[in-house]
Amino acid sequence: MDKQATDKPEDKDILLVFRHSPYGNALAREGLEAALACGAMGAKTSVLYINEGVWQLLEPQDSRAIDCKNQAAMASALPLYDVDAIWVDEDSLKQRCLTSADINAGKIIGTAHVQKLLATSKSILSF
Amino acid sequence: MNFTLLILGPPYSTQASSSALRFARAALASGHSIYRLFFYHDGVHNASTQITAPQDESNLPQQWSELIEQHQLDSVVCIAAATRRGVLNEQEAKRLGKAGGNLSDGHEVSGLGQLVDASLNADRVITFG
Repeated sequence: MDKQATDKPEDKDILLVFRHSPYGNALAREGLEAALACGAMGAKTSVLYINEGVWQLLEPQDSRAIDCKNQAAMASALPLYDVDAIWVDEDSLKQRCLTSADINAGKIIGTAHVQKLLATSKSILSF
Repeated sequence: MNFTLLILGPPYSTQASSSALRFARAALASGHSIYRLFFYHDGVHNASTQITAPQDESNLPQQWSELIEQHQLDSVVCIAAATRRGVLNEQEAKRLGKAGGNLSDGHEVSGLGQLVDASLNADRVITFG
């Protein structure tokens, strides 16, 4: 399932790390809006879903009862904004009894790749 | 080193804003520079003039304004996040038919493009959330 993480990121690239669950506060939504803005401006952008953040990709999810926009549906817009590097932490999924079948996007990567991503990304925004 | 600080935490509720302020002071005192302060999410409340601290507590929004003034820092408050939370400059308040603006001195309201620019042009981005 592991896919090679970017080995040599260009000097100017941005990694957005999504660490919080989709609802309960606006971090997930506003983080995603920041990622879409990065993509829209042509920046080389990657996103990493880790810890509680993996719930943001859960499919199916229905947030109508709490009057919130569907976070997974919003995340599916990432490729439309040229954000194709969507990474998901394998351990975080396992700890929550989730598999690739439960999420609607992203490449699942192991701890070593997550570490490499964090170590080599020039700018990291954490939500 | 040239830093961008992304401030997501509101004043008083969490340590984030206070830590960011201390980090900014320490970085500047050590000869580093700050490319931009970007206030986003609940962090936009740090730019509200309406916040009033008790006499024996520090007024974080005022301290941010003083630091910005003292070092002529570039400080941007995300307009979408701020408008939702009732932090408006005079122009926006008038446009939206609100009683008056409440944006502290030293900040400007702008879009997420300023965060993207700041992320690309700073040596490091530090998130305080």
